[in-house]
Amino acid sequence: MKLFFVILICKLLKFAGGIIGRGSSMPGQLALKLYPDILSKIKLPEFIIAVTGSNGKTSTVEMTARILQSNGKSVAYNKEGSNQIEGVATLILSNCSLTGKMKSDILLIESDERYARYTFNYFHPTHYIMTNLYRDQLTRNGHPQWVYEALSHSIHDDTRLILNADDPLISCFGVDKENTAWFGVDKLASSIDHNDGVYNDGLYCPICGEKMSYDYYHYNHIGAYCCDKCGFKKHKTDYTVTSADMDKGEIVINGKFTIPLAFTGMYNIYNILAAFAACSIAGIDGEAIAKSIGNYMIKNGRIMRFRLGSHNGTLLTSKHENSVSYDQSLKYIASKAEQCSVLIIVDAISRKYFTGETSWLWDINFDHLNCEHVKNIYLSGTYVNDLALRFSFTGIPSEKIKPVADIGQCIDYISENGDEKLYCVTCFSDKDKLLSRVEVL
Amino acid sequence: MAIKILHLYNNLMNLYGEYANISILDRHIRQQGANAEITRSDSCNGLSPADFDFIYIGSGTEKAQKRALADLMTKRQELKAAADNGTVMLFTGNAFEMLGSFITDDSGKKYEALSLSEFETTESFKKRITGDAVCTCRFIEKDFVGFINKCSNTTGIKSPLFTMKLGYGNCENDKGEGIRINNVFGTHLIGPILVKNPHFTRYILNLIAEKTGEFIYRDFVNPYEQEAYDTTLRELNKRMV
Ligand SMILES: [Zn+2]
Repeated sequence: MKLFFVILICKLLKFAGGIIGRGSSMPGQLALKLYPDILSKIKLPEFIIAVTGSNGKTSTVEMTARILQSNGKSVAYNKEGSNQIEGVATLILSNCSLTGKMKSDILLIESDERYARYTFNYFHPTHYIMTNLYRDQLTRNGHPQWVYEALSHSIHDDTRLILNADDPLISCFGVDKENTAWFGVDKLASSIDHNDGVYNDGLYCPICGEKMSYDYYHYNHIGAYCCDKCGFKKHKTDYTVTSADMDKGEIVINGKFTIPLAFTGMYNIYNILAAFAACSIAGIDGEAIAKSIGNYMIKNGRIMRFRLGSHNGTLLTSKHENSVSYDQSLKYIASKAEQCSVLIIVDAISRKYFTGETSWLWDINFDHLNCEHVKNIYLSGTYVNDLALRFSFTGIPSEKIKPVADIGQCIDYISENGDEKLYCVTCFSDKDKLLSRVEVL
Repeated sequence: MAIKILHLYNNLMNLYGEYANISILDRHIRQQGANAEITRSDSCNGLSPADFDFIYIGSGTEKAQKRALADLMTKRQELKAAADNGTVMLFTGNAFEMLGSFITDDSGKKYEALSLSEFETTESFKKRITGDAVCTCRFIEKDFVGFINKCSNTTGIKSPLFTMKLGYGNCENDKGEGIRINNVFGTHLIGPILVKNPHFTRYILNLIAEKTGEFIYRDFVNPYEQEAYDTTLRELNKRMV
């Protein structure tokens, strides 16, 4: 009876929240307060797929949901920002009957890395995708090894792991777990033979601590690693990007499924691959997956087109406090031959909490922008001086660097000058400061 | 002659952009009209602390710190001699813990450390201690800004380097943070603290100038350095009222 009422309250709150425009995890929070182990009392679907990792959680969940739905499955999944236990509780309780039975075929959960252990205390996912572990929000996360420890408590014996074989730290979770499914990207034309980051988190073996060597890198420490001392190395993959044509904008998975890309970033490729792996395991045919995900443009507002004065603009939403995310955006800009300018805004480091910590700027390889076709680099926001100081340690000619602290003034200046392509690299916490001043297309 | 800088464990202990401490010091030394010769190494094998005018170690994971410590202990006597001799050294983040007598890890295992001073550190994996920091220092007028990111408590320091105005000290309920032993500075502040605190860079440069006689220190401030510091201090001060 208690279950009935708590679910009812949760549904009503969720409904009321929808009307007043507050899509939060508050209903779940209250439900957990009234009935702490309520999640263990719900009859969950046969397939419970969880997704965690530093980057790519939201996109992977969104793509997985799209594939499953367009192949006739009903999917309940959480939207970004509600990936802690309260958000997951809101998701589950608002998608189950008053008797406590979930109606969807598949429950798909994005889970915060540090809090997954609490959520999966009450039920265990049947499948668990782990995308990668990077230096991400270290002001809260400590460091990747720390997050690894926290995540290890969220893994249970009855959960099948779906792991990124190209990430050495993530791959440690699969050591001695024989039913693990592995995904990875073969050597591509875009692969490089050195780590092109400012730091190298793949230098030492996460198992034994000795130096590792890499056959190739895709980006940062993601690639084909091998430890000569203990034999730890990139695992053979079950789901593999076997080739890619970045000019044409398509990838081939497992040698036969061609998927055209709406966006050629390496991130996007890994997210599609992870979604492919999960959906294959859930019984969807490879051809059908390829059809439903081809040319799919994620609608999460990470990449947006806009117009400013005579400039055509693209917003590449990156994450402050996440150097890999920045590096990806910078490399994307570098890979385009068209003449352009770049605007980088660091104003509020996080939208969820305050910090004045700027050490992460030094982990970003801004030298990626040291190329002929990048004309001006505008820096703006509260931390404009930290940015300018950081840029003074790159090889980029100083006359290209244009710091303007005030975001409005900076954008006005760009609007009145030039007509080259404009990229804006900033975080969720700051992107509206751009979008409110430009014409979003 | 060049100023000889040793950045030890530049890969192993480089979690929060610590390499930039050396970049900024190098720039300033050149601006003083001297030259810096920088040695970077993940092992002190084959190196002698006595050969250097400045030695730096930054933060690492708890695991990396133990590996660095094991390596560093092979030069324990020489490091102690260099410290006694007034060599300028900076140990930031959990490298600071290596200056004490012992580090006890989360499992209770005790690691002998350099014992430049009689303090002890105990780690716990239960909780990460993170937060912005503002602190004062007895011998430098300006406030220090930075960030604490650790999982340990350090006890037994009677005369700390800093007094915290904001942020976590050496241990719970302790406003004292870090230590100074002769010209050796230890602090749990992480990252490029010389970039963030131009007054500290000037202080270190002064010490190196006095010690080596390679240059006569004159004030030099690069664009953006002071402004970046002012911004961070202003933003942090807003949080303290
Ligand atoms: Zn190994």
